[in-house]
Amino acid sequence: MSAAAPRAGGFRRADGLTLAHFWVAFGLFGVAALLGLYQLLERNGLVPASAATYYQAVTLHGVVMAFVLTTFFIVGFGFFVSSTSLGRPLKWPRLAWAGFFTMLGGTLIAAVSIAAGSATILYTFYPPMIAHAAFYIGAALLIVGSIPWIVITIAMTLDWKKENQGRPVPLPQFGMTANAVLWAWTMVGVVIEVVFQLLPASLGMTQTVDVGLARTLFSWTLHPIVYFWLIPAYVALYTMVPEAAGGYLFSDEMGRVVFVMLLVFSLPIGLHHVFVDPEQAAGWKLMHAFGTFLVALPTLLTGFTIAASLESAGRLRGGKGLFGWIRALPWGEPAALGGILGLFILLPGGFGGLINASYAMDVMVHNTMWITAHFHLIFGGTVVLIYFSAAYALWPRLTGRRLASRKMAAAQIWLWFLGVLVLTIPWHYVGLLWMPRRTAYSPYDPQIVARWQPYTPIMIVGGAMMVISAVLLLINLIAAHRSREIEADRSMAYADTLEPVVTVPKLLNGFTVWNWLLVVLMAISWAYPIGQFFFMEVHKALIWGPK
Amino acid sequence: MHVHPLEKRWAWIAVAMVAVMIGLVVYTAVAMSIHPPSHIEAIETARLHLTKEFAEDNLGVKREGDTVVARIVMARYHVEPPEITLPAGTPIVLRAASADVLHGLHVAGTNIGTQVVPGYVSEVHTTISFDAVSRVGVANADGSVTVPLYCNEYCGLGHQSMWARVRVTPK
Amino acid sequence: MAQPTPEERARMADVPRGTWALMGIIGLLLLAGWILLYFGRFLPLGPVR
Repeated sequence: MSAAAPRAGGFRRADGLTLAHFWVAFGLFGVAALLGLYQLLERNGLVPASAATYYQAVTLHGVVMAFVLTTFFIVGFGFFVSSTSLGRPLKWPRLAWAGFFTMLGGTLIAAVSIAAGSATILYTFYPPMIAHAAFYIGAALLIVGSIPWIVITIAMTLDWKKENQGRPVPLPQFGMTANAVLWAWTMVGVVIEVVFQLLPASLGMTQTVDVGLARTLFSWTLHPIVYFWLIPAYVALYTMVPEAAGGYLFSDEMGRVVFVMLLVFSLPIGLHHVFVDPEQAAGWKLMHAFGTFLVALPTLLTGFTIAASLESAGRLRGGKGLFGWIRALPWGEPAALGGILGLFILLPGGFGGLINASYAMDVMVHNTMWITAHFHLIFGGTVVLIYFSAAYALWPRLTGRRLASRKMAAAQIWLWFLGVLVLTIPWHYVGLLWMPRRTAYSPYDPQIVARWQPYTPIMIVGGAMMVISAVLLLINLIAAHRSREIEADRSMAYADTLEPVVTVPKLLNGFTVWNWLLVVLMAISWAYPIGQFFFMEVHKALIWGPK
Repeated sequence: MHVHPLEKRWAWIAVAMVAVMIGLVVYTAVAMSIHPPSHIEAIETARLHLTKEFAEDNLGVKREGDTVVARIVMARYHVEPPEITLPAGTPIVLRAASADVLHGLHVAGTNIGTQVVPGYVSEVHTTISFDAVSRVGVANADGSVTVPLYCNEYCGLGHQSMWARVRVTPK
Repeated sequence: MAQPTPEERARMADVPRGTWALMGIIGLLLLAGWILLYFGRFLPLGPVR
């Protein structure tokens, strides 16, 4: 049996800490959503053209959505999950608060440098273009501020295991621990790049930068970071959504297998982000492509396990026949809806990922709008939708008040879901028509632009729908704080499993073996691609900036 | 560990699907030489203008034996030369270098796509399909088709203006 | 934590047959879509290396 979550009051929880993280995440998300709409309007001439403002907006939108919304949500969510799934108070809460304020400080410093125009290097850093040092310092503080979460999560798991020898670590915590281990491994690439290459350049200590090395180091981080975002969504899918939908988790063991596979397979595959770069050889790219296809497997397995869990809910609600359970799902329950719709989006989103992973085929889609469409679908769609549902599930527990309106919450999720589809479906198509991404406008031959023209109004409508949904989210969350309906039971209810979980194999209850395996896999996958820059002929490029 | 038989079957199907896809990728790589451009060649960006190969009068398209070679320099915010003519149905090699920052190079209707990274020469080997460019390009009076060559990697505030034209002649 | 009651088990007897059918269709769609894009869209643009 998975560990019971005690009644609220059985131990002290750090709900204020979680709410603080969530409010930073969702508050800034609202701002970034507006910037997204601005980009759509500017690109298509509906507001005055301004390249400088456009690229600034892309930078801020990307940094907030990809780094701030995510990290704050994940850390706040993680603290709540650790405490409630293990049934114990949060360990070292003062350290956790120190982490929060460090991340917040870093975010503000970076945001100011972006707003001032001194860091228009978008959100994937662009050496040899170098931003003002404040940007890198802010980014570094954001990363450093998340380290307390890593330490606390792992320490709480180890404490629990010592006191519960041989028993399975509760699945929610197992998933979040995998995520903490993953994040520790993930950050190494970008930290080395920032500390040893970009920050010194921005401080005037160096005049050149090895761009090939910088891009390779960044690519170390770039793939596993999306799994750092995805794993908490999967924790919600496995352990919260089935419960919210009124069903059971189909398989606890498969959940563990998936978390382990995500950890091990998402790290040694970053070169697929530099498939068309001239500084890496084909053999290494092909090896990373192979690994990238392997990391599709845990998601394919998750599709089955979560669909089966939803099927249990649908059948319990009276759905009959082969597919009647789909109709019977709780399409109006906000704590489940984001999971259901997010799972659906995994199909087109995952499909796009398979295309991008396919080695030479990346030539066709790289840096086109197809790529932008893909991650807006898989991240803006699946991950964010599940984050919404998790927020609606947690809010009554965090605040002690019921949601002011379940209907408004469900409507907000539906609107986001539909907006994402309306935005991204045409986006994929214009990407296949070679429309380049990250351009402030399209001053190309009119016949070329005309081919893309029919789709832009549709995309603008999609973006507008998403902005309205973002505003509605904030309204719903604020209203929840002031709701007059009290939520008496603030305990967290995690999904029950169809079959009792008595014991699990050691390999699915800890990460020691997997960490050692990662040492080997990372050495094989990265030693040469990174090491080559230290013995091959390399010409560093002059830096451009800082302002 | 208990796994439901249907889930086990699905797991095998997932593995088989993934095996088919990566298998086809590896097959086309090995048997048909289909790779993303991965030719590693270092060059000193700051001295690009002093090289023989990327000197201004050597840029553009030349026939060298059986191959057609195109040489391009990308620099903020201009592609040099801004118009090149390439034959369809003929093996071509495109060599591009950056004179300053990161750029991207993508020719619509073709598989010419690469990052142009300062410090490296990008080299792409391909054969253009006239059918493919006809479908996305602009037909010219002389029977050729013009397609855009985009810089598609952010290179600064003038990035959107950075593009060129490729005139493709039928073989 | 609670396991399903016998009555619930009866109602869920068909799980995961619906999922199996659904995922089978999804798998076919994914594979077909990939093959279409790889051989129908990407390779016809020309060989590349």
